[in-house]
Amino acid sequence: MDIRKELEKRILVIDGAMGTMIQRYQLTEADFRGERFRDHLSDLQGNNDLLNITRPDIIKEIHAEYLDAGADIIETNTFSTQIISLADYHLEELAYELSYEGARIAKEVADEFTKKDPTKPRFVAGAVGPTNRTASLSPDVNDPGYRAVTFDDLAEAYYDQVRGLVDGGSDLLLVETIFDTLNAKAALFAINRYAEESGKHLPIMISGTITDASGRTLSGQTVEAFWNSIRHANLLSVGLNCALGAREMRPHLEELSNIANVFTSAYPNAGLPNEFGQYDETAHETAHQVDDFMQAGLVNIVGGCCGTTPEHIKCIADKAAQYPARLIPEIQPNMRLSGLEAVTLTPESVFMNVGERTNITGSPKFSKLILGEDYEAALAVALQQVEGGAQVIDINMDEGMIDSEAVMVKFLNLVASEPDIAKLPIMVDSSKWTVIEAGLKCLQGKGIVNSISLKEGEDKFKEYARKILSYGAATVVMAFDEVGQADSLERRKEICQRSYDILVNEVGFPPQDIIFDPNILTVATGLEEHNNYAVDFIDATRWIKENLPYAKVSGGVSNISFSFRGNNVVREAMHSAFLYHAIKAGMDMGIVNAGMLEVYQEIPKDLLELVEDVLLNRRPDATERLVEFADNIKSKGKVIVRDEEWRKDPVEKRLSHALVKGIIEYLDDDVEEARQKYARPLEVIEGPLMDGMNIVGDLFGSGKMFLPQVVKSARVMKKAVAYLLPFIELEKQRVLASGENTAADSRSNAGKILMATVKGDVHDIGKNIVGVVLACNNFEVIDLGVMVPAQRIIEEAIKQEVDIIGLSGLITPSLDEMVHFAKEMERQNFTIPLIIGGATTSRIHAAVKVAPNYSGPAIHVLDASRSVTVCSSLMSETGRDEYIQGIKDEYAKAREAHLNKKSDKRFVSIDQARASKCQINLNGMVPPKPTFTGTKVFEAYPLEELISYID
Amino acid sequence: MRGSFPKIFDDKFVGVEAKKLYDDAQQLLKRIVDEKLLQANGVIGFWPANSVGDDIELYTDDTRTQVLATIYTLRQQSEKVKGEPYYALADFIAPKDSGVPDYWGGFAVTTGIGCDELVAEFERDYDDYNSIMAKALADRFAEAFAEKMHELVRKDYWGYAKTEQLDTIELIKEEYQGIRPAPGYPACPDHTEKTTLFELLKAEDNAHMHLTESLAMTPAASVSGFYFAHPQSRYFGLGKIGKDQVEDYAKRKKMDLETVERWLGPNLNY
Repeated sequence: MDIRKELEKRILVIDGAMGTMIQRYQLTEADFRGERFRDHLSDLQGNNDLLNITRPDIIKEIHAEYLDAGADIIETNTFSTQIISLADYHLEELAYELSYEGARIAKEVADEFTKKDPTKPRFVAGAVGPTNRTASLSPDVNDPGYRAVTFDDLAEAYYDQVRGLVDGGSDLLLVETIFDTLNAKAALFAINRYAEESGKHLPIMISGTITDASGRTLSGQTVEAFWNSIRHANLLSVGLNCALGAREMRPHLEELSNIANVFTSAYPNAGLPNEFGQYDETAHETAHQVDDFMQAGLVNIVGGCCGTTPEHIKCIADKAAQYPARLIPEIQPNMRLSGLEAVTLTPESVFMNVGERTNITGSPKFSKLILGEDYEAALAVALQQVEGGAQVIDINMDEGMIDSEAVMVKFLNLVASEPDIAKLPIMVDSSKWTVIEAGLKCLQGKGIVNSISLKEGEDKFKEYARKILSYGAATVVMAFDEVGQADSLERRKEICQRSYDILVNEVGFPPQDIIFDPNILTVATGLEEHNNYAVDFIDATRWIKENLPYAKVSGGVSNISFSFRGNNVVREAMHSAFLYHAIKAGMDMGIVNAGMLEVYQEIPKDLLELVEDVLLNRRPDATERLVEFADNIKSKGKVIVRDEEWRKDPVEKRLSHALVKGIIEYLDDDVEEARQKYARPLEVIEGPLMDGMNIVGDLFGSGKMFLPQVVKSARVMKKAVAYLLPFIELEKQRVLASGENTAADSRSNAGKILMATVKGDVHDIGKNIVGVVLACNNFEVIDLGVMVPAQRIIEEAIKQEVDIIGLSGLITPSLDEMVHFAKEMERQNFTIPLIIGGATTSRIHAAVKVAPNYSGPAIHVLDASRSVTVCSSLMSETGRDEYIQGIKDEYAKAREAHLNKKSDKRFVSIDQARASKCQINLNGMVPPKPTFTGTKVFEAYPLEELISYID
Repeated sequence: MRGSFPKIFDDKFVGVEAKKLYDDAQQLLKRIVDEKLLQANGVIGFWPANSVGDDIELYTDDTRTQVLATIYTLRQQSEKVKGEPYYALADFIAPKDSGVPDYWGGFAVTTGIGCDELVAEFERDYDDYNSIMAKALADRFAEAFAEKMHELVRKDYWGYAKTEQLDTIELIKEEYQGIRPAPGYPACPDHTEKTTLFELLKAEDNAHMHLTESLAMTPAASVSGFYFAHPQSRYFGLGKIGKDQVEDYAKRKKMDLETVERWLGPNLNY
């Protein structure tokens, strides 16, 4: 009986609710107690798991009903059979026995059914519930660092439960109704421990619960972040259950189905509960909703949760027989991390910044805060990094005077309660393994270990790597072995190759989660043997990317400039130039102080030459020359005398400069000057400010600016726009008062427009400008912000009864999200116009990819000023239809032209085309047989019956 | 007139005329139905089928040992994004070597019987307006008949979507399972396949439908096509194809290359 084989052939059905069915028996306290617990000190009514011992006959009956209804998989009645949950009833000692009995009973009934029909094997899923405690959240709102349960407590409890379930005869294990991913990781850890010790590797199903409209788990993770956190555990399937009805579950299930390269499952509740806590959705209604999942190819396993009954399962099973199994998508092996949100490093990602300020060894300021136990201020340091554009936070508590392990745990627990920080993946940094391990047990997301190496020998290296794998983290590997730290190119290659081979071939560590740190060492020390250190690192980086497939390269950038401590101008220039070259060689990420980074383009050319001479070891006297230059720059601590030449430039250039360099000192004055120079405040935004942002965009795109710097530029832009807003408002009032405004006078506004930057995209400057411009033209603008999931936009659009929806996106993946959105608008029967804009969008994309998916108007808008004409046309009573049809015709022509571009059109040979034919899914499906073969004639068919079919 | 129904009636400029046209059409429609001035005939057929390469073999019976006829399909060759399949209609029928017993269908319907007479009547009265209206209505009926027939096929005669409940809008948006591509349309631009279809259906005898030399159907208000039932079947455009496929196709159809090239003219990329 191989469940995998069955899943490849067809959709399997899992059973429905146990609790709902038990309630039908209307059992009394005495029933729950039975003989054995007659004198138990606390009430036992409601402890459904106990019935495994006191009324196994009932449980067997329920299992049989579900199997009869067509369930392929039944869950054991063991939702809370571990010592943590059982403590509520003072029945801790029964954990193993209840788990064992639950499995035994289920297996007995399942085997009976399998015997009756061997072509339909029945499987027993040993159910492991989430317990009633959260490992990532504090139950006490006043003490966010407190935890009612730890990872170790959970792992211990789950281990016992799993032992019982497997000994009792379970065919697979099901970790379900997960509302806190850390609890689930502990369960997976326990299962892994059991498998290693017993040699029994059961397939594992895992199912999470999305609790509400936010689309996140109770502990705050998005669906993708949740998946990234658990996918290390060689799973059979992942899915969702409970809390939501099928309809509410759909968008989350769809997302999971697209990203999970394992089987998927869904067992929703019978709708949402009514005022009395009862479930009203009938068997047919639930089955109809679930039918949609199967038709869309989203699931491999379906069933029901709370409120469902054997009737529900029968209807679902009937539907499941009609559809082919979902095909598992091929997913690229990228490094996928998570905090509360997911972060993926793809080959297209330019560079990932790891914030370094929450590091005791690296930051005297942070050290003081931690030693002084000022955790609030310490958290503020972490938050600053997030705001500064860090994509991962490195946390280090190595200090002889404190209990590093305890402090690491405390700080991580506090971070977990700050969603603005916790959204990012965490890098747990320590030179002691025990501190690292303690840290990993606090992360519900997928973090990074910093670091392990061959320093202590191969055995320890493998032991740590295996543990890291079971905690579900990625790892940094230092170029360090038993002999010492690698200080030459050859040594770096040797160590990295050896580490890679051991990790990938012996430990089974996924190569995409290995991050090599080939040691950024200090240059310009005066010692000649150090001069080539930067070149060695850069060459090592290139070699690693070429020879160790999928592995990443990282490094601590500040190390390079230690020789110039105190001279930030030189240090910043060195960091920037070093990164520029290292990233070109393939460096994927680095530990960077975002505040200590100059813009590559802005480094004065003379300084740049000296710095690059040193870094690239271009001349033997490079160090002396740079030192001489450095001495000539006056610097007082962190306040540097800036180059003020630019203040002499025309106001437009000054604004550009301020944007690129992130300088706010003179902003208000410069913006005011521009405002007076230009006829309308809007022109300042659309002119010099936008020009400056375009420069930023170009620099970022070509790798000459980094995200933290772009973030600074965005802040300057926002500040400039904020300065102009009151003037824009004033102008609007004036225009209205003077009656110049011709837009729909009868309405209080010209139209209601809902705007959002799509899911996964954080860019909003353009969108905000469009919003301002539209508002100035009397449109009511509702802005949902950034990274807004499609479903939220749709719900808001319905709620607010908007006239137009506007989507914005800057990065390429946003294009796909927009196509998805258009499909959703169509599916949910929208008719209002959709406008799209943003750097990545284009007229041709809108015409070819977006518009064909939506019957309403879908229009690309080039920029803010054009947004006014487009929206006005869409709202115009007289001109609207003409306008919309005009666009549709234009886009149809564009599509035609696009498809027919003979000159650039490329063709494949017929053999190649045949090799890539569409393979229809025939899995377990019997093609429907017509009711007859041959012909059937219809003579004089009644015309009346055709009238309603006329288009 | 540009505009969607029924909003067009409210259009300031063309609304009045549009309404008038609509009312006139409704009147003629009623007359046609009441007096049975047009006759709707049709014939459908299903056969055991399996695909062999880019061809669809139709068998005489379920033993699938004897081939009754072959439908030849063409495959897209315009370069696509990696991972995107190159479609041919044959892909929607289970391959022979899969051993899966699949089926294929065809149809030909007309609502043009009697149209010539009706048109002639109007022309005698020098009534161009109504003669055009009559032809237009006959065409609309033919499409409606094809739609209705397809629904009957899905729910009843083939019966793979018994519980389908779609309203008119959904029908027009093709939200049903399966497709009914017509020869001459983007997925199968080769009109010569109509000959095979008409032979299989015995359309001449059964529905009084004929093919002209240029393989147009008469009466004019006619629709014919193929039926595919697989959930993954979808409409697509063949686009342009290369000489390698055209030569192969000519060999399979046992036609000479020039003739095939003539029929596939608009689809050649050379």
